[in-house]
Amino acid sequence: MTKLLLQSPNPQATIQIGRILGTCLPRGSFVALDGILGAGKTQLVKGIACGLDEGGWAGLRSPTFTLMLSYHGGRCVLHHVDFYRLNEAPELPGEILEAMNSERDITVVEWASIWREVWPDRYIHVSIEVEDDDKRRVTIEDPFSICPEIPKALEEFTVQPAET
Amino acid sequence: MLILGIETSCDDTAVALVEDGWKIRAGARSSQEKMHAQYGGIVPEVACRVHLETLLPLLDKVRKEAGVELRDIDAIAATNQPGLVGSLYVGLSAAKALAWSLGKPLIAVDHIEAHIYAVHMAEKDLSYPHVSVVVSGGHTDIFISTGPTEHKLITRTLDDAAGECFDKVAALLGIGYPGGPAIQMTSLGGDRDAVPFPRGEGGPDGLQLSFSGLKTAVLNDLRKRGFVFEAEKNSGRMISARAPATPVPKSETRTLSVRLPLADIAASFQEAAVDILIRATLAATRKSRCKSVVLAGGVAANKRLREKMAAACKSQKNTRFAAAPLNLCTDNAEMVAGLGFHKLLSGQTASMDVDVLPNKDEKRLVAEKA
Repeated sequence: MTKLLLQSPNPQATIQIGRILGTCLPRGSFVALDGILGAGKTQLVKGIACGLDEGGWAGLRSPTFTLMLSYHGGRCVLHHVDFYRLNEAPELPGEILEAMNSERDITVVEWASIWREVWPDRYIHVSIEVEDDDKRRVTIEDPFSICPEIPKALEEFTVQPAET
Repeated sequence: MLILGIETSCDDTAVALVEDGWKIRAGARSSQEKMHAQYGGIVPEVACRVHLETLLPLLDKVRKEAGVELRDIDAIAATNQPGLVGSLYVGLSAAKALAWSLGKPLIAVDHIEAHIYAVHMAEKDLSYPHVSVVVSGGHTDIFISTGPTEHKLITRTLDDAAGECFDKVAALLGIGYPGGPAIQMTSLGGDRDAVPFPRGEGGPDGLQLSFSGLKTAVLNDLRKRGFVFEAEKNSGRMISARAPATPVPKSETRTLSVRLPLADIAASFQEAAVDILIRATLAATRKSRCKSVVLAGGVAANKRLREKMAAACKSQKNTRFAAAPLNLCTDNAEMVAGLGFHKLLSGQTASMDVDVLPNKDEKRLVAEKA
């Protein structure tokens, strides 16, 4: 699978898409997440967190201010990173770079395309576009087949089947 | 007892000398706001370097202003949590070096607890317990406080911090950084009811706090006015509103290709944010039966929030309302030295191997889960 087009009718559905991703992403996955302010990036990560650890994670908040928040309770560690404030920084803080390249943990980076150069070699790219007040179009690209289960798992939200 | 306070948890370098927990002998703060404004946010590596360059000259200045020698200081207090890792290290390491070389006790202070304590420095008759509302760029937490270092978390934002929401909405409106002062200034003369932004749900007990829905509502409002958004890669501001290529329908009273009613949007947004905070604060007050409410943190400097929360508290069983004085709202070292005094009195000193805890909240959440 390289590209999947999904429709999310409301924020709850965005969380649900995240939850499904969270259940099937393998350890060591790096997810680059894009979308403008208010698109629902943090909602999606909240979902991923729930997918990693059902029932927990109510405490997931925006990492914009602290740059990275790590959650240790689930199936594996989740690092939630935000590049929003890192624009034009001279270099990426070491602990973030380490998280992004981890083989054990899952790392999701919001505003990832601000700094495309620091992505690891293998990534999943998710971008959320605003269609109207609630509706979002979610594009998932998995060029390295990190998570082949995605198309089947997210079938109910798919508007355009996977291109290979 | 003279305590030296050092605060470097984020982008402000601050040093202060405070006597007996409240009497400010001298204090100075060097803000990196201007430096980071060009990036639309804080750049950690830059912040670290500036802390390093600023801290010692600032210490010298404060010491001279107070007319004391280093040996006159009774203890050294520094923020060790939460905050940016590198920034915290600069302040804590300096404090350790001073404490070690002077042979004085070292005190590690929690930044959030210090913010709450700042209110006590101005209102000495304020007694515990009270509801504490800490609102800043990184935090929106409501606690029940029973002592200077005893705070029980009652509720916190589910997503964005209030200050972060101000920053991001200011970015959407293109009115600058930091968002708090920018929104406050822009909202002057604006109609608070112009746009009925949603206040979200308070949940069954009214304690639920969330700001991401409000942020999205501002985005949607701007889109309805015909603005389109684009993320600008590697530019100073990452997102900007752009007038559409085609003219806006005449039905819009103020056409946006001419001007966006910025004052109205800012005032309406600010009002909604304030209402969300007040709803949760009053709910916490009812739940805890506390007779006073304390407002602290950078966003506590917002005039409308202070004004409206004071009125809301008064109308709810005449609850006492105390906000941090304006000079102690944003990050400062006076509050660190002030709280340091109380920690020293109660024997809460730190050893030389005390570490920084950048996001201790998350560690605490996990600990509770386990």
